[in-house]
Amino acid sequence: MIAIIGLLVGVAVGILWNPVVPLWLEPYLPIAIVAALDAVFGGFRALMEKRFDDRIFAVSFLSNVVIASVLVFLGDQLGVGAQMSTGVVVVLAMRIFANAAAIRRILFRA
Amino acid sequence: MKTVIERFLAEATADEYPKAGSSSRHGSPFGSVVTTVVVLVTLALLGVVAVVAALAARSSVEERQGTRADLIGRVTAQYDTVAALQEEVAVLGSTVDGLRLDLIEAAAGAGSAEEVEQLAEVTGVTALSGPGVVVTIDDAPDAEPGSLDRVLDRDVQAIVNELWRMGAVGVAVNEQRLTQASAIRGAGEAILVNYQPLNRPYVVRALGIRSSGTEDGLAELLDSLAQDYGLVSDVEVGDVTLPAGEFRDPRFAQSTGGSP
Repeated sequence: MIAIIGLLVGVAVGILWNPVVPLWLEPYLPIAIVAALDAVFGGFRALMEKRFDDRIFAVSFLSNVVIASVLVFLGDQLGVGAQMSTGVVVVLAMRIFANAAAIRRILFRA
Repeated sequence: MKTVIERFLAEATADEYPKAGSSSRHGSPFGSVVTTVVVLVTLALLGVVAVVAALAARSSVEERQGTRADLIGRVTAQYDTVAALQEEVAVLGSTVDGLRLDLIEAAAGAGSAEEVEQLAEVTGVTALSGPGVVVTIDDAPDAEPGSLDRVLDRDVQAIVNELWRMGAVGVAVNEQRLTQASAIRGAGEAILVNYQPLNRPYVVRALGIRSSGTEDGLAELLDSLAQDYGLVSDVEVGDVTLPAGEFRDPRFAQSTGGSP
């Protein structure tokens, strides 16, 4: 519930504020979002399994975003930015699917 | 025995939370205000970033479309400028031609001026108007790109050659006057005359022909093009005006003197 409220607040703030994204930051936003989604799904799964921890959640969220962005940035600097983005997105998507599967098993027992 | 991929997958999808039942800082999930605030702030952050990314992606698309429209506008404006300048060139060119003839007449007599005028007509460097025929030819109505049912360079060539054979004094294809140095050739999908791409339908104007070509090879040629490829053509007899062509000096290859 609180998570959904937070998400809605964030969306509202984003729409109302509508900040101008610096051009150099733009390529990293999608990656950052996927990384953040991974942390959110992981947190949700932990919540379902009754082992949620706010500290781990916050740290994993921030570190995921930072590491994913830095990896892609490094890839860009080394000329393999596209491949690095693909790799990062594949791994994160895999984790998201694994977590989603675990959540699904708990919620629907299927 | 796990395969490499299984081990990789297990490591990549391992989660960071302690196993259930092991020591946890909080007795129950969501038990503290801190947890609530952390979750709220984190998810709000995610929402903001997601919205910002989506808006940025969309605005860049809009920007690109704006740039494209702007470029199209500039191209169109340049086309208009070129057309206006070409008209000016034609007007000035005919003035120059008149002055040149006057000069020749004054310097070398009326006979030379007439000769120059005739040669200019034959070589196609002056605008001409008078009786003639207009042949319009277009692609078959359902022609696909790249198919033979479209008008090809050799179709235009055949029509032009037929018109010369019928005694045309001057020929122009879509406002491109044919001179001695003109070529009608295909470049990809386009037909080029005087290195200028033409747009369909192709209008071939020939001056100095009075018949519509029914008893000549022209009608036969157009019929066969219509039957074989479905090309749509039309022949009209009437007054035609040909624009002046550009005289290009022939260029010759020159030996550099070195051994091949």
